[in-house]
Amino acid sequence: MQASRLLDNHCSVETPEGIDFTQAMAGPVVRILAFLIDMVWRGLVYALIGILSGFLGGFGMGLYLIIGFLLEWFYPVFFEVFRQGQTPGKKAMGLRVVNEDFTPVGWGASVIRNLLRAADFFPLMYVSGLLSMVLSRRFQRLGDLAAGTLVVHVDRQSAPQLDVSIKPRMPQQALTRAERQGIISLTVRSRTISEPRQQELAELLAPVTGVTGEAGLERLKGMGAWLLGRK
Amino acid sequence: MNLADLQIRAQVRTPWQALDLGVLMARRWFRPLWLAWLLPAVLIFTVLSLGFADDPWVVTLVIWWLKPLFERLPLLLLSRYLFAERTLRGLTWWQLLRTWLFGSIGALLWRRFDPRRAFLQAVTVLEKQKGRARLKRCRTLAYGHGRAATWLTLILAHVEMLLVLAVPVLVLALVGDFFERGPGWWFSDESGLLAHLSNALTLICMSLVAPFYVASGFALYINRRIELEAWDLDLLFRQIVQDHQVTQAKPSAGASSLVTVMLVVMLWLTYLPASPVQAAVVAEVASPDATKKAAVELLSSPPYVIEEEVTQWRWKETEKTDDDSVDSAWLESLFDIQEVSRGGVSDGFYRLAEILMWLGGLMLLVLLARVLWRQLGQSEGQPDRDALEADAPRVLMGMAIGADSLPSDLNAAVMEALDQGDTRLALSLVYRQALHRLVHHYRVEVESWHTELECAAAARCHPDLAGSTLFDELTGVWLRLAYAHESPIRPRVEQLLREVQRELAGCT
Repeated sequence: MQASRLLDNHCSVETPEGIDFTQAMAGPVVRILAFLIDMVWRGLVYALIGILSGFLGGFGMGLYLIIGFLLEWFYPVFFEVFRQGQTPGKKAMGLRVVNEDFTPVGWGASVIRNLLRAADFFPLMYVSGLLSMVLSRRFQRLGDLAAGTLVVHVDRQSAPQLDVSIKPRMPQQALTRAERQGIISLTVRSRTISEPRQQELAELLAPVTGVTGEAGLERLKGMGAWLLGRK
Repeated sequence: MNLADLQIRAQVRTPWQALDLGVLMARRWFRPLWLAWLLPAVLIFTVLSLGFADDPWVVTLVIWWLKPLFERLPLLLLSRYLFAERTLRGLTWWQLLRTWLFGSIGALLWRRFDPRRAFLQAVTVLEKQKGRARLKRCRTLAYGHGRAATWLTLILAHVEMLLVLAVPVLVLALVGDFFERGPGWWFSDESGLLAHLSNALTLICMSLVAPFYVASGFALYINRRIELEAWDLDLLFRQIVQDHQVTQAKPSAGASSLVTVMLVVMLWLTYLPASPVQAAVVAEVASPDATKKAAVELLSSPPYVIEEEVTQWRWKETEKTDDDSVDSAWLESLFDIQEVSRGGVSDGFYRLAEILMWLGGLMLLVLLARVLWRQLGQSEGQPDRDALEADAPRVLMGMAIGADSLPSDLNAAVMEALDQGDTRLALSLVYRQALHRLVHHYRVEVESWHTELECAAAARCHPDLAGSTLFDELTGVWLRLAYAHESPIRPRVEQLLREVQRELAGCT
């Protein structure tokens, strides 16, 4: 069985109760984009404060420096702790910072991972962080390794859009979980998969459903609609 | 192409997740993909470097321009590795050559600047589509995935530049001041050896990024095909049917045996309470005593009892964290350090350090509060009047000079004493009043054992009273009265009283 050797971008954590939680780890490209979005936001704030502090003279300069310091070091910390691990950039890209066991990230971990940006930055523009991200199995930069955090994709499940022409049918036999998921998936994705291919897939399941041909596909989709709650 | 051999978990992913999967693919097969890119590139690079020894910039430009062709061999390899085929077996030389030649003109000219190159080149290289068919295919595939493909190209192009810049910066940071060069020296020397070195560095950086670029683009392409052709459902349904056939085939033979097994188990379960230990043991021994003995014997041996004699202190064995998130050796060594710091010996130290830190913080807070309290107390009203009065002597030469020992209306008291003919009492009042003012208001430094003359000397040294002879005169008059019993005349006493009240009233 080679199942464990299959490449996958998901990692899972097992709770003491034996329940597996699975999350998709976020890789370099999407994280770089999120960082850039955050950088633009920070740049806007800098520009705004720069203009405002121009009117205040020396005091304005001091204020600018203090806000700059806070923004540079605690902008990510603030959002990670108070906004469920999502800075504006991460939110835009559908990312979230969590601990290695998928619990929400706290003050300690967030401060460590963001203070170590200095290490990731070396020698310039996050090259070390990038290397570490590519080399570590769960796409962790040095700050993540030290703080024990992960950046994961947030599941965005939209409500499945069903073709109204599908007539729901009650399944005639007991279905396992994998079977139910497969049938639902086929029903929901019936718009993106070509008709002949759908026929082919339905034909594969003919020994289970007991119906072949076009009726088989119709039956499968009906079962999918029924499983999704249309009666 | 056999889906059962697919090396990735078939699943429809978002485009961003597909890019992440591409990084994982590039990492698993990095060496062959890297070599497949680098070897042809090095060949051409060497030829070009020899040819354009005087114009090194041409070399990088040409290499950069030829990138789409260099990426074709890694892509071909990747498409085979994905289905667990580790060789290029079955390809003739002509086919291999055709991999490079097919559609190369377009790839090098009008499609060279297509930002979705990594994603769409599979259509040309693997599907061998041309012209209108290719366009149509690209449009189908790019739906929803074009944005991610564009960003992939943009970002990896910048990463490549970053690597080219990072190496000289790193070298300079490590070398330090040894070696004095102006900023930008790396790029300033256009024709020399340095430029060729820089070209080689650029080539290496390109080759390092290329596998990730190719694999990420290919992962996007594969993701789109999984979505359109439902590879995941195909695999799932085949698995379901296979399981179904297995369970269908079994019942005829299996059902009866299953019933038998169930019956046996049930029988055994009903029999179980009567035999607490083991069926085999119970069968052999008959008497209850023997059974008890056997039971005790059994319970005093492993796995019921594990005895171990420990004669010295040792650390508890902590569970090793099963952390396998690092691929390469140097990062693994980093992890070892991390693990050491997590468990075992240093855990206690960390706990201790934490407690000490909190205690220190608390103490600091208490000290700060105390200092603040004192500051607030001092700034309220006249803080040191009482304190000073307490410090300074209240009795001098046997005479009380505290404010409370003197009458509130001094004039009246002195006049009354003079009226009664008690000059001694009147003058003593004036003298005590003068001493009180000097010691408690002018803060003249006197001690309780000082004599009158010493007090006068101390008063003369006081900066505020310099030049004033009043106290000396008063002392003289008082000494004559006190010790020689020479009473001064009444106007003299009155004059001294007025002067004392005028001259020593200044400081309150």
